[in-house]
Amino acid sequence: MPFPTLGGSGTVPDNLSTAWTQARTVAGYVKEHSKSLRDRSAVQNVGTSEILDYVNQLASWREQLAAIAAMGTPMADYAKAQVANPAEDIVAEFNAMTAQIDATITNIVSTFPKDAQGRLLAKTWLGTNTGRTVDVQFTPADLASLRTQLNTLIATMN
Amino acid sequence: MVGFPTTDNLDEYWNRARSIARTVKDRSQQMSAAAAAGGVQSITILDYATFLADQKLALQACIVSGIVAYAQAQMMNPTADITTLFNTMITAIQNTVDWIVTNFPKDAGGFLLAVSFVGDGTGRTTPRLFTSGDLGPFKTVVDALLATLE
Repeated sequence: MPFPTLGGSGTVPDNLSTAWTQARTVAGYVKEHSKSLRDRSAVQNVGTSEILDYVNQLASWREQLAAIAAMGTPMADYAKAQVANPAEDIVAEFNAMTAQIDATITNIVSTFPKDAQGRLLAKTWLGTNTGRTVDVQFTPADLASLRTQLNTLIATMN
Repeated sequence: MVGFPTTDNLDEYWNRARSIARTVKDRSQQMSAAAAAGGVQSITILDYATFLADQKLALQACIVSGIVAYAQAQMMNPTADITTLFNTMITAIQNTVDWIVTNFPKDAGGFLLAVSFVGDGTGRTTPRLFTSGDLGPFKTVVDALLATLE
C-alpha cells in the first residue's frame, strides 16, 4: 500500500484528525449561518432564495457530518480524546446537533409554501412582462417557527 | 469647446449592437435545440427570459444619433432599412419574453411553479423539467426570434 499523501489525489480516506477538524469546522458554519439567518429574519423580510440556499447548504453540511459519523467508534474515541473532558459526552452532543439539523430541514421542507403538486411558491414575475423574476418575501412573523428551530439548533453548538 | 471625447463613438455603438445580437442568436439557437431535445430545466427558461430582457435594454442603449447612417455606410448599402431590421429584432425579443411570462406555469396567485423539494428529506430542491412536447410552442417563438437575426 502506498504512503497516504496529505491534500493529494490519493484514495485513502480522511484520517481521524482531519475528520475531527472537519466536523468542528462544519459545525461552525452551521452555527454562524444559522445565527445570521435567525437575527436577520427577526428584523427584516427574507427572500425565498435565501431560505432555499440555506436549506440546500444544510443538506451538504449534514452529508459531511454523516460521512464523519460513519467512521464509527474510532472516530468517537478520537474525538473524546481530543476533547479530554470525561464529563463531556461528545457523541451525544454530535447526535443532538445532527438531529436538530434534520429537524430544521424538516421544518423548512414542511412549511415552505407550495402548491398541491409540491411546486414551491418561491418566485413571481417582476412587473408586467419584464422577463425578470423576483423572490417572494417572508416577513419576520412568517419565519417565527423557523427561528424557533434555529434557536434550538444554535443551542446544540458551543 | 468640448473636451476630448472619451465616450463611445458610432463605431463602438454599431459593433456593440451587432455583438449583442450575435449573443442573442447564439443563446437562442441553444434554446431552440434544447427545446427540440426536451428535458429543459425551468431555471434555464427563466434565465433565458432575464437574459433577453437584459439584451433588449443593452441593444436599445446602442441607438444614438447618426447610428443608422453609419451602419448603412458600414454595410456599404445606403438603402438598408436598419431601423426596421433593428425594430423587428427588438419586437421579436419582447415577443419571446412575453410568451415566457404568459405561458410559464404559475398558480392563481402568480407564483411560478418552477422548483420542488427532491422529496428525500434532505432539503435539496430540483427544477421542473419541460419535455419537447411542452416546449413546442416555445420553440416556435424562439425560432421566430432567430429569423430576425442574420
